[in-house]
Amino acid sequence: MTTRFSCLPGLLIVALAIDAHAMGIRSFVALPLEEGGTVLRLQGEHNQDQDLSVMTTNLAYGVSARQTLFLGLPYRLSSGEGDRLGDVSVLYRYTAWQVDNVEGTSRLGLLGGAVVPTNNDRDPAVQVGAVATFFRHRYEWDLDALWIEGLGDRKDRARYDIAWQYRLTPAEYPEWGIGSEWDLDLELGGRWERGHDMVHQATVGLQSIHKRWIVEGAVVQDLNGPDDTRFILSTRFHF
Amino acid sequence: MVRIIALLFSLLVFALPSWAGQQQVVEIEVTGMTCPFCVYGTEKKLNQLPGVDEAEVSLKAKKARIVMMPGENADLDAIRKAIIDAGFTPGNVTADVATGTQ
Repeated sequence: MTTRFSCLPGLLIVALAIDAHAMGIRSFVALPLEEGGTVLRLQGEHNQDQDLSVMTTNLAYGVSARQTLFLGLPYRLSSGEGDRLGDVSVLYRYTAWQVDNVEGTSRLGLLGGAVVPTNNDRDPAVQVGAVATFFRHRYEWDLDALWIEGLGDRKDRARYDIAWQYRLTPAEYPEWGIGSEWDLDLELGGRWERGHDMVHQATVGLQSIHKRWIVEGAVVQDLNGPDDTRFILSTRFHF
Repeated sequence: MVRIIALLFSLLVFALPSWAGQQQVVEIEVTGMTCPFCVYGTEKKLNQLPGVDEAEVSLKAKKARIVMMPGENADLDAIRKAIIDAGFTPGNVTADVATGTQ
């Protein structure tokens, strides 16, 4: 079992790069963003069982209301073998379908991009996927899936995230102005690499959402495979 | 003569709010907004429009309220475009009045 998952720290580093993106905590691609708007996210993740800490910097930029560019770059804080700097994930999202009404919104976005190595020893990858958002009243569903096709020696990977967020407070928004809110976040996700089984993960988190910033924390538990426990602390800024 | 008087009267009626320093206030429906962090962009976009004194959003009423500077008239097409550029959908104008007369 130890041998089977010996590559997981490295795999984690790469996988985190793709976590560039939902209002869910583990994914970021469902984030609505205005034309010309920028969101910076700094996310620290500590894997308790592997004593591995990674800081991931994510950037989202609104090219237009329907087009968003996501960048992600992980950096390993803890000591260990290999490069501390992970590879850059570049993702483009096109919102192909959107229906807004007074109840909420439903959206479907298409994702495409690449994983660009920061080290010549590693091969790149191309990635395609989709993200769907369904928001009503106090709750939101975000679903996304991504296929990462490895080029050269790079292994294929895939991931999915299903996030459910519920606004705990306030029960009702103020008449005017943008206040703040607390959201509960429950997620089910999966990470797969060719040659390994899919590792499914459950996430429980809390988000404190404000007009221009968010602070969020979560606990992620593997449901199979390595059975690791991770802790996430993250902040986002909207410019 | 009647036409001239009518013209002068019309000019007086339309120009009076500007002379008096009154501000035009427009309220428009905005659907698709989800949370404070996401709708910040709507306020930002509306506040960037020329002649806008202040814009704010109501997540509860699903509306935006745009207060124009004294003497400035709201460009409804530009307001609708700003909402679309923010990633949301503009609806009906629910109010278009001078300050203090809503």
